Order: sequence, then C-alpha cells, then structure tokens
Amino acid sequence: MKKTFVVEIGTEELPAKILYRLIILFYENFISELKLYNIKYKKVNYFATPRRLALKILDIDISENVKKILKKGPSLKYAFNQDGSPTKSAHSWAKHIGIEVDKASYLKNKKGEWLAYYIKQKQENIETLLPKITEISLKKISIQNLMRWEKNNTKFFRPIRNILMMLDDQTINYKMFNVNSTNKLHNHISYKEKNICLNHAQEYPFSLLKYSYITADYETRKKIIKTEIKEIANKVNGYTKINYSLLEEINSMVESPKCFLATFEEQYIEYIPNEILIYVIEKQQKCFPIYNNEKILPYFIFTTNINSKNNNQIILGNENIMKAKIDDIIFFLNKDNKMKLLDYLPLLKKVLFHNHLGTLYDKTIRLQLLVGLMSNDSNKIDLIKSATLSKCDLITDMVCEFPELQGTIGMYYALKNQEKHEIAISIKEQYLPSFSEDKLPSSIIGSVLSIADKIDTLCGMFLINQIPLSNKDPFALRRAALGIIRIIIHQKMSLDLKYLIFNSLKNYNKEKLNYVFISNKIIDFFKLRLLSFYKKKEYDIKIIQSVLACQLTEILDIDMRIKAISDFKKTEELKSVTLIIKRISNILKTHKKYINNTEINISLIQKIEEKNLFEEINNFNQDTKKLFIEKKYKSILLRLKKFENPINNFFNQVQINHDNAEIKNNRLILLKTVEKIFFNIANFSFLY
Amino acid sequence: MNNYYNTFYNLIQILKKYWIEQECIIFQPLDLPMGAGTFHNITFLGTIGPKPIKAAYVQYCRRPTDGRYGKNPNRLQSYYQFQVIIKPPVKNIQNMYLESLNLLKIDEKNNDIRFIEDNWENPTLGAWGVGWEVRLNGMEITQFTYFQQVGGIECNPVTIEITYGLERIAMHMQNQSNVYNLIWHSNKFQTITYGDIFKQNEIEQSKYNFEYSNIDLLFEYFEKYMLEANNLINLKKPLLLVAYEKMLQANHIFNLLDARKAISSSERQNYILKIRKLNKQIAKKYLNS
Repeated sequence: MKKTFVVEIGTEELPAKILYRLIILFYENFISELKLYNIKYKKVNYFATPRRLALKILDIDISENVKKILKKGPSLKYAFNQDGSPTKSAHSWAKHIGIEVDKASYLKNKKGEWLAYYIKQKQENIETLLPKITEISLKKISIQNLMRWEKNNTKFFRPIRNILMMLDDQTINYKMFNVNSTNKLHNHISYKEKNICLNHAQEYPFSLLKYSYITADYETRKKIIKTEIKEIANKVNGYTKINYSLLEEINSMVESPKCFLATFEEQYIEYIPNEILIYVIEKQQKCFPIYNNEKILPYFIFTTNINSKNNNQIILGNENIMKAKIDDIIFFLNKDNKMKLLDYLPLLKKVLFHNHLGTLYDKTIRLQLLVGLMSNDSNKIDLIKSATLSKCDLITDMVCEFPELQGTIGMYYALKNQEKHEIAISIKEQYLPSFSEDKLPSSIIGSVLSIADKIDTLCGMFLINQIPLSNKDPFALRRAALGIIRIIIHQKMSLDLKYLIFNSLKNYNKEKLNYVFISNKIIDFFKLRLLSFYKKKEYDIKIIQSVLACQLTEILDIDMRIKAISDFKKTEELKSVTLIIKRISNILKTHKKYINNTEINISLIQKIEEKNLFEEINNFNQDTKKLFIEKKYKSILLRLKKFENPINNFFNQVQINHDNAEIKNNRLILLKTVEKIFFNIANFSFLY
Repeated sequence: MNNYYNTFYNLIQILKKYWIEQECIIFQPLDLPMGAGTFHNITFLGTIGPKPIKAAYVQYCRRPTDGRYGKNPNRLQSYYQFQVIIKPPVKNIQNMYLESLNLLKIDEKNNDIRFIEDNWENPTLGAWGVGWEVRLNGMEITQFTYFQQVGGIECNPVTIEITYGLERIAMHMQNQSNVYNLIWHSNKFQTITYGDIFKQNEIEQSKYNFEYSNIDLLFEYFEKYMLEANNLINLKKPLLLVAYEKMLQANHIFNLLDARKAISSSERQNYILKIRKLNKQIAKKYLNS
C-alpha cells in the first residue's frame, strides 16, 4: 500500500534570511528520520513561504511496519577460538539476544568486523510514527535564535499557529507546540478569515494556489519573480542586474508574488551617487533598480505579497516611502557637504578606535607611517594622502546613519573635493576584501591602504592580547589576515611580513613589551591562515607544510614556492628528487653526532665521486644564484635533478665510515651541504 | 463633518476604543521625554514578572537624532506612538491587530501588508525581543514584538507589544505624502493640521538638538540624574518609580549628547552600560518587591 503524507506548519511570518535553511533542515531531518525507521517512500517534496513550512512525502510504503534493530556482538577476533569454535563471549552474547551463534551474521566497517544480528521488531503504525517524526525533525533544526511566544514557553523560530497533517484522505490528529493538527490549511494573511480544508494529501499545494493565490514551492516562486522583473525592466527599455541574495530574500518574504514598476524623480540620479541610490533601493526597500547602459534609471521594481484590485494605492505608497528615504539621504548629504572630507580629520580625535589602542585619529597617523614604508617614490604622496583621508568619512552623518556605506561615502566626498581619482577609490577599497570570497582592491594604492589598515588592527589587537580563540574572533582578525594574504598574492607585492609587523608594532609606541615574542605570535597566526588558505584551494597539505616550515616571512615567496612545487609534482619529477634528499637525510640522521664544523675541506676529498659531488654543489650555486633572486623555483627544482647522478655515485662508491674521523666528517658535511640546498627551497622531509 | 472620520485625533480614538473592547486598560502618556512607548513605566515594569497585563496608551516620543528641521515628509524628532501590551500573548494576536487596521479602513485585501523580520533590542533597557516591522505598501507603520527579556530579566511569560506609528498610518488614511499636511482635527469652525501644531517645533527642536544644546550642561545633567537615580535605588526602602523617572531623564540627555556627536563611539558603550546597569537594578528590585 502506498500513501501520500503531507504536513504543513503554519507560522507567523518567518525571517526571510533563514527561511530556506529552515526548510532544508526540516526536509533533511525528516528524511534521516524516515531512514531510521526504515520507512520506504518515493520522494519528499518541500515547500516554504514566510507563513508555512511543508513537506509532502509521496508513495510511502505502509505495508511493512517492521523495524530492523541491529544488535552488535563481540568483534570477530574475540568471537572465535583458534580452532574456529565460538568463544565464551560469543555464546553469552548470542544467548542474551536469544539465538544460536551460527545464526549471527557479520558486520564489517572501517573499524573492524563484528558478530551481528538484526532483530525484526514490529513498530508503531505509520499514522503514529509520522507525526512523531515531524516533531523530532522540527525540534532538531539547529539554527540559533529560537523564541518563546506563549505561557508554556515552547520554542520555535516564530510562533506556530496551525498544523495540518494528512495521510491520503485521513487527517492525522496530533498535538505539538501546543497546537492540535487538523486538515485545515494556514491561509494567506489577506485571507485570514477563510478556511481551506484539504480532502486529500495530494491536493497540497494546489489548493493553496487555487483558493488563495499562494505559490508554496520555493523555486517556482523564485522563477515567477525573476520572469516578472525581467519583463517589467524590458518595458522601460532597461535591464535588471539580479542581485542573487536580494532575490532569495524577496522570494522568502512573499507567498503570492506580484511585481510592479514604480518611479522616483529623475533629478535624484544626478544628485545622489548611483551606489547610494542602489543601497536605498536594494538594501533598505528590498526592491530592484533598473539600469540602462550601466546607469541607473528613475525606476524601481517592488514585489508585493498580494493579489489586489487596488494596485495604484500600493504603487503610490511604495513611491512615497522611496521618496522619503531618498529625501533623507539628501538631508545627510547636504549636512555633510558643509565641510570638506579633510576637515573631519581633527574630529577623529574624539572617536575611539579601541580603548587601549587610541582614537581613529591615532590610527590615521599610524597608517600614514605604514603606507609611507610600503610606498615607492612615485606614489608616496598619494598614499599618505589616502591614509590621511581614509577614516574621515566615519564621522559623517551619512556613515553614522548607514554604517555599511563606510568607504563608499569617503570615496564620493573625496571626488567631490577634487581629490585624485586613485586616492578616492582607495578610500573605498581599504575595506576590501570584507569577506572571504569578496573582491580585492583594484588599485595599488587601495591595496597598500587595505593591508596597512588590516595589519595595524591585527598588531594592535595582538599587543593587547585580543587574540581570536577557537570560534570567537570579534575583531575579524582571521578575515583581516586572509585579506592581506590574498591582496599580496594578487598584486604580487614583495612585502616582508616580519618587517611590516615590526614597524606596525613600533607605531603603537608601547614600552616594556616583548616585540619579538608578539611578532612571532602574529607570524604563526599568518602561517595558520596560509595553511587553511592553500588547503581550501586544494593544494597538497604536505607541500604547503614543506614550504611553511622554511621560516619564510615573505608571502609572495611562499606562494611562488608552493605553486612551483605543486606544478613540479604534476610532472612526476618530484618523486626522484625527493628520493635523493630522503637518502641523504637518512644518512645524516644516523651520523648526526659525528658532524662538526660546516665548511667543506677540499684537501680532505679523496675520491672522484666526492669531488664530483662537490663540483655539482658549486655548479648548482652558480647556476641558481640569479634564479633565486628572481624566485624562479620551477627552474631551481628542475635543476635539482642534476644531483641525482653524483649522489647515486657517491653512495655507491664512497664509504662514509672512514678510519680518519676528519675525512668521515668531511663526507658528512658534503651531504649536509646538499641537504641545505634542498631545504633552502622547502622542507622536503614533508614530501617523502 | 466629512473629514471627521479621517482626522489624526480620531485615529487615536478608534484605536483606543478597539483595544478597550479587547479588554485593555487605557493609560495616559508618561509626562517625561522618552524615545519610545516601551519606556513608559507601564510597559517596562508591566513586562516584569508573571502578573498578566493588558494595556494600551498613546505616548509622545522624542528622538533627537531624527530631527530634519521640518523638511523630511515623514521623519520627525518627535512623534506619537500608540502602544499595546498583552501578557501572556493571545493566540490570534496577529488577526486582532489586522482587525484594528480594518477599523481604520486599511484592509489587507487591497493593501500589501507585510510582517518583515525586525528583532527589537533596546540596550539601555537591557531588553530584546523577536518580531517584525509591519509594512503597509512599503512603509513601516507598526513594530510587533514578543519581548524575550526586559531589564536583564527573562520574561516569563513573554509580553507581546504592538507599537503603531500614528503619523505614518494617518498619512496612509488621509492619502498624504507629507506628514505636515495631515489633518489633526476638523470641525465646522476650524481645521487644524499637524504642521500647524508641530512644524515650528520640529524646526526649533532640530536646531537645538544639532546646534544649540549646551553640551557641558548636558553632561552635568546626565551625571546628576544618574546620581539621583542611584541614591533612590539604594535607599533602605527604595523609591523605584522615581528612580526610573530619573533614569528616563538621563537617557534622554544621553540621546541629546548623541545628536551632538559629543560622545565618542566607545564612550557611548560605557554610557549605555551605565544606564542599563541602573535599569537592571530597578527591574530586579521591582521583581523582588
């Protein structure tokens, strides 16, 4: 027998930002519960709107209501004697579950093999199980921010007001979250007084559409919105750039979507920078702007949640509120523009960056010093100017009101004050990347400013011991370090981290501090970030470790080595090269105590193979001097292969153990020198 | 008499009447400056503890930083809220609210009424709740909140709070896009607009809030009000209601200082913590009294 089960949890409006995650977790939990109970079915469909979470399980096999329970016995090692007869513990286990040992089967997994037996147990009726599964699946949804809404303090994401549960044409009665289930659907907010009852589970979700214009299917609804906004934009000869997260958010805010065109006054476009207009339209009002040739048009598209006969009033309302929001922006712009951006600088003395790390003005001064160090002659003046202006917008009315626009506002005000274009851009770009996949500063000045800002914060926080702990990173220092790494690699900047950190720490002018200790801590912090950065990019962890072990502090250098070795590995040459070094290191390890002195003594060289190896060392140093300066690690790695013959010959023909201790020592030093050459590139011991 | 129904004043009357019918006790506004109806002692103290409550009142609110010199069509440094609190919340509270809108001739069949996540938090009150802003055709007209914690104390049971923004609703009802054109009241002798009563006030208060307030004096006031509140809390028999009023005064002064940007960002946090600490003490002592 196959039946359809549907459950709909009717709620007060769920938060748009978590709606999709909620339904997916509900769906996944439900499936894993079904599996646990060994319930067979064809498919589970999920539905989500702001007022409902629903699942429909198709073709549930209700014939077999038998549950298999696994009884695990002793591991095979302990289950049988050497002659193959069952042990005592096997017998007692079998007796305990009431079978003979030879009835047991085996269970094998990664951890080993065991005796096993599946007991078939008749389980509860499907009608009893499904509501239980529903309740567990809902309660297991693991997202923060549950709320209480009534006296008995049950918890969910929003108040649950209605529950429908049906198995085919049968209503399943159950009480959870203090609500009795029925066959009545939760209705649209504008049809709240009307009851829609289902006669059969299969009528879901069609009845919702038929009686209340609700599109319960999440993806279908998204498509409807997408199509409508495209059509509307077309009508006014424009196009929309679909901001994906905005579309998701809007889709999660409506269940009867309908899109409309609205207008705002054209003069605003001249007066307010596009980016700010887009911010108001997208972020504040959750609407779509329309573009033509990259320029924004005096229209916006909003999405309603209603099938109304009175659309004019709705459009008018939306236009009015958009006008008020834009008017507010103009108020702030006018107020801010009474001063130049630079005039805000002294006011930063009033704004603390951090209790123990001075004001934003102090930070500005530190940034000036840092970018000065990172500059070349040609961009020094511009860099110092951009550092000077970098934090000024933080005290403007616009940024106080819309903190998300920090940097963007600074950029516009700088442009308005006729600052150089690059300087203005850098004020905005200093905050990039602001999350792990975010875009990077496009300009050099922006990159330098961004690095300076981030390293200053990082060093300051380490100075006062505000170091990120496992999952806590309130000052987003991990993100800052990762940002620095990405910028340096992207812009191919040869910046020494140690130098940068030292100077940044020095800028804080703190006495009685162990700078080396803190500096090392910060470098270790960077190393961990580098490790996870390359791991995420799916580089071989051994290669990453081999390079990081070299105590390098130039990120670009680290990057080039990791990439070169990874490329080299693809050519299969790496194997033979690592074999050489492995052999050498093993020998050196066993003779560790005999090695003293580090210089090779030519007069102690006895055999031709020794001499050849010595010459190869000299040749290598000659050949690669320039390559090292240019960081051409691929060529250097290839060049290592030439050691193969001299080394093999050396091992075949030369005895390390010589009666003369000095000769023996010299041979070891010869090998040690080769090892150094290898380890100078990467710690190969991670690679073999 | 045509206009009678649609006046700002009648809007208040309709809401009052409706919520009286829903068994709410109607209170009067508190005669002290505050940023939101939530600060009224009926709400603050009413949410604490297990005792059920159903109450409603109009409250005049002041938000110094929202001053726009009378130039923004819907942003004001002072405005009216209509506040309803019910503890424990009733099951059909959402419909109850929609019905009140229906009485104002705002119906959900012809208007796009949406409950959009807007969790409320008031750091100085040590309070937070989960809820929505209700948008009517894109305009925020109401905040709808289930208080989870107030004065640092877990609400048990929770209180539902509905806060209507009266000007916004009136603008919709009277089909106005500018708040100052709202009809406040009209009879056969006279019609008086919102602008007639409040525009000059908005201009003057904005100037004061942003330009002419005496910062030194404000700092001094703040300290003195806080000191007084603390003294009253620490009496052998504390005067909690009075202490709470002094806190309200201090809180408003803090908002004025904020409007002048006279408090740096981290100092700001300290000020908030000071006020919050005071409120927690009041809440705790009130609960145990």
